Amino acid sequence: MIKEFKVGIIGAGKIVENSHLPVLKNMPGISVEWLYDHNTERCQLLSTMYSVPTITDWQTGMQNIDLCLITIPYGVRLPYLDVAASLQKFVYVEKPFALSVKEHMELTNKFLAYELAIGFQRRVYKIVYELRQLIKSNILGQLKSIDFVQGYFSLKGGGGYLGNAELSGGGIIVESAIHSLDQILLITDATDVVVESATCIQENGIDYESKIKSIITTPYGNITVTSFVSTLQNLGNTLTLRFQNGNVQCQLSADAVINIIAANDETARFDCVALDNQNGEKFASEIIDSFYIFWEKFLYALNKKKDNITSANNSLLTTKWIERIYERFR
Amino acid sequence: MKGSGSNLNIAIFGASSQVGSSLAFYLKNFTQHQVTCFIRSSYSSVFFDICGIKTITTDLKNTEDLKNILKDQDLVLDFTYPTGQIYEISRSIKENIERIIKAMPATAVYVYMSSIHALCIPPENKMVRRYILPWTSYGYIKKQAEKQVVALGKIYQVKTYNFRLGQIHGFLQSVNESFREKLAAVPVAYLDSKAGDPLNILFISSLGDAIVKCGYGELSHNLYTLIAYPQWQVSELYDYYKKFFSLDTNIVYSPRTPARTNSIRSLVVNKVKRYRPLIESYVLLKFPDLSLKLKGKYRVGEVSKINAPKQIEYLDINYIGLPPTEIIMDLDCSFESVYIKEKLMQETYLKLLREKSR
Repeated sequence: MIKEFKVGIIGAGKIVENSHLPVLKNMPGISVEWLYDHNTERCQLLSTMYSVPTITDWQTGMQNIDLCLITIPYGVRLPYLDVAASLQKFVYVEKPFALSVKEHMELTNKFLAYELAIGFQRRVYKIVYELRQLIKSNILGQLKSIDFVQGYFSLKGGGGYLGNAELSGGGIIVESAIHSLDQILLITDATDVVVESATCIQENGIDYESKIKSIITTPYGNITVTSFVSTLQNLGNTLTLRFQNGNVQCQLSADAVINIIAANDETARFDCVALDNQNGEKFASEIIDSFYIFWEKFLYALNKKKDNITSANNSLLTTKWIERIYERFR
Repeated sequence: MKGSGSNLNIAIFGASSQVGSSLAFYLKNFTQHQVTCFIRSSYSSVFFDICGIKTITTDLKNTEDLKNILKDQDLVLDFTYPTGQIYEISRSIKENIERIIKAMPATAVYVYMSSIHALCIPPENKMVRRYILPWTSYGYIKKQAEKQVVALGKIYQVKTYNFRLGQIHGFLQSVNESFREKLAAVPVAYLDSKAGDPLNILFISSLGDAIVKCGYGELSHNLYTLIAYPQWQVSELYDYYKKFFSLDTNIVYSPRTPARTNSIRSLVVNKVKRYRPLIESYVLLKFPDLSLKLKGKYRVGEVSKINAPKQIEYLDINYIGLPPTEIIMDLDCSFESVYIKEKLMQETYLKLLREKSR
């Protein structure tokens, strides 16, 4: 029998307003018991929007739930994670989870593997599934290298925690590009990563632009990954996979179209829904779908008591990559 | 007010916005005027530091501080648009406008910025003309704000302007990237316009020129819609982007014919949908709780559609027609001139970024 989970939410930011709460209110097997944020105005606002009770004593509130969603900034999460762990609650925590492998391990060791999820919702994007299949198929020969570009000029974010590196954990890499780095590791089934070089524009611990060269270890051999990430200029969002017999180019958005460029420069475009999907895997073609599916998968892990792609122990390599990148920035 | 040709001290509020920051960059690097940008936190300061633009982080509520900061300014540009729920925005805007105008010296000029949507263009409509009803909450809020600008200018004896900006283009604008991405993604792009339709667009450099005219007192009316005039045609804009990004996309101009509704239900739903922004403007602004509850229900409803079949999304809307307000006709905004300036601006900016990178 599927258990009904009582959920408490720590944090009343935009991600809860626009994504988590609308999804949780639609999700079978979930009852949202309360919402807590030190910003009582925001808390009240979301309470009115979604008819969710607010609380002021989160420690007492934590005792009356099964699962805690933690969406407050990286720098202030630890006490909540500690209390949740001590009360043996399940936790879904937003990224960034940890800035070092050591920190990641210390936190995950407080929970059973399936009990702790990190919000890498973009893992369930359709494009991730498609690219992974494409690489596995070997149809274009061996994967040689990957170029990743992400750049949208935006100076917004100053009003919130993003202007404070202690709260955010860093800048554009840890706040946004981390999703794409995580997706790259997933599509290549990577097992290790080394950062060879990095240049950046960084102020007060916040990175705004960076060029990074990394080597990832995969079942297909060592692959060079170059990334160019910026919030100071428009570069678009493009992932280029260079294979032995041609290149593949696409965005890393949920339902991106795949362009295949042959060695003779001829191009073809594919929407690869029909690729082999023997397990009937559900994947997202919109951002909000990814939240829904990711929550479904987390609940599945909890019901089966078995870790899966939502589980924190399955994102250690992403944390390692982040740690190595920021080491280079210092 | 300073005479034509003299150096202006220009203050920009809401400078972290895309248009505000791009305009500051243009004024600083391509004119002789002095720019000071007001920002809310240090996050955006890196851009202004790189560009050598002076920034001030201030609290608008501190009147004396603000007066002191603005005392030497000739021109004050207001790009602010408060965040928050729609029923709070009008009040916040009014407070901000009053705080700024009250703190300005009487010799300075205040320019309040809105987008062309202040015309209250109904959703899914691309015709720029006079609309009597406020079809969108943004239009309703901005029209109120424009009235307040005029009234407060009179009270505090400050010369004011209201600018409604056509779609702003420039190498740092997201619309540029959107054009590049869309055109690069397809070998053939179908546009819901005729090639010769007149557009309501403006590039950053032309906005800069219009701003300077305000500072010199060369504009006689209060309300202007700022567009490139003579108006660019749709085909010119797409040719511009093809040239700017070296794209060879084939453009097909194919205006859509209105879809026919198939049932009474869809007819009724579409009718009600049409009035949604109007209801928002007149009803929800006055009932915060109801507004929030409906917003929550809407979001929950949207997610419930996850398993419904997806519909095709048409993304590009080019606003066409001639604005019903005054326009400034002698801005430098020809294709060739804008292209050269944009390339130069981009080159200058990228050089600054390269110098900063370590």
